[in-house]
Amino acid sequence: MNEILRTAHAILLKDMKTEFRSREFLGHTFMFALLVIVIFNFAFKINPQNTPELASGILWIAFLFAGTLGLGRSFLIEKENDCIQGLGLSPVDRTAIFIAKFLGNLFFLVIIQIMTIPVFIVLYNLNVMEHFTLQTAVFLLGDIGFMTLGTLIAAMSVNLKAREILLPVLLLPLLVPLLIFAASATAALLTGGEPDTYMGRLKLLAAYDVIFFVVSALVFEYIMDEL
Amino acid sequence: MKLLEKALKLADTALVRYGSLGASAALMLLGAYLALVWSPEAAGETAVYRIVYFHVPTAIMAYLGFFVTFAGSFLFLWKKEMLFDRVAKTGAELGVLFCGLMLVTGMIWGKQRWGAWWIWEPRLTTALILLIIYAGYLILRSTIDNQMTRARYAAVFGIVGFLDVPVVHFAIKMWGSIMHPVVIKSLAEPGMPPEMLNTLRVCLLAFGALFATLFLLRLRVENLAAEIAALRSNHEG
Repeated sequence: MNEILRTAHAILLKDMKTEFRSREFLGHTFMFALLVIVIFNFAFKINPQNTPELASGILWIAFLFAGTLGLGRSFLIEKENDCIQGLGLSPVDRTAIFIAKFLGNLFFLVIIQIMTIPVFIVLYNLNVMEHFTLQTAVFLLGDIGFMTLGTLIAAMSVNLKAREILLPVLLLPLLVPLLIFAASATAALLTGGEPDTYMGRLKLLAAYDVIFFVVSALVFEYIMDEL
Repeated sequence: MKLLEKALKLADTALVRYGSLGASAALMLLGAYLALVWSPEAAGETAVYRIVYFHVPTAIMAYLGFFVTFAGSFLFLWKKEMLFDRVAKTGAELGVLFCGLMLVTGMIWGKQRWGAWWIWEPRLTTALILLIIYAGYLILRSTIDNQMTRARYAAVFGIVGFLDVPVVHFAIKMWGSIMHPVVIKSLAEPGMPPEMLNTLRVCLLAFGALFATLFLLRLRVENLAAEIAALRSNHEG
């Protein structure tokens, strides 16, 4: 177990270093998330009355789309210069590679959220982080499930001819339950829903995360061997 | 593995093929007669209720197809036999076919009962999401040329997708009950007269036979295609 974590740490560190040396992609994705939020304003005719109801949907859609963009890249950078072969040849547990890529993607998405949410709060004049701890828990649990399946499908799609379109086409239907749990939890917190509602959703999100994390980590080696 | 191969070989005769084709055709005709003519009027229902005799079997066959994909995917990753990959593919194709039929029959019924072709009702919505997931499975397969890669990726997706089925159903049920009141009443009323129940049984049998026939034929095509590919690569190599 320690061995796996150490390997994962090394791969994660490598990814972080390369990412932060350019920082380009983070900025682009942030711009994209911002754009989604702005465009929704025109599509829905937002006003103070309907903001609390629509806010959670807008935020989660923005994160799903921006996160999917980021996912596509996580294995693509390995594909350039055939780095993926080096990674595949190295005598390390495949689970370590999965965990490292998963953590990298998760970290990336959380940064995007940290950048996007304050802008959202200002633009929509709605403090989505009013219940800070609970809302953070919703976002984190949602992110974990999203990035678990996302990392798996991204690893799969990087080898495909039509990868840009196939990643969302394969991933988003699988994420429908996650979106339902997460968006309704966020909405319940925003509109002052019953504690039963959002606590129930949080538990469901956690269960979703555990199920798919275990399965994804188990089947990842079959994907990795073909990269 | 050996058992499945033997069973398939035994089933791979003209007699079985035409026999199962004839049997499903006969059962289908009988089922159609029972459903459309013989079965009594339902209390408080218009004639459109009779679509239930086709709707319920297609739904069961759709889920059966998806389960076959899951089982085939799992066995492929375990045993590394290409036959299981072909089984999984065939299951997904039939699943998508019957899932589409289930949606169409459900929509026709819904147009009469609800006055709209589509209502975001939990069961319908779940079926739609499943259709999209398994259509994605088939698209994924079609974009990969390498046999081994395709089999592995498809198997992984087949397993993850099937695990998603109950979660999707549960989530959508929860979502549906929040967004709007549940409009559907139970299709399988427990107090169904025996004529209706028997009609449904015959229709289930007919669709089961159709599923088996299509499965055998499709798998045969896949097996022959694999054989040709192997021969060709032998010849060239």
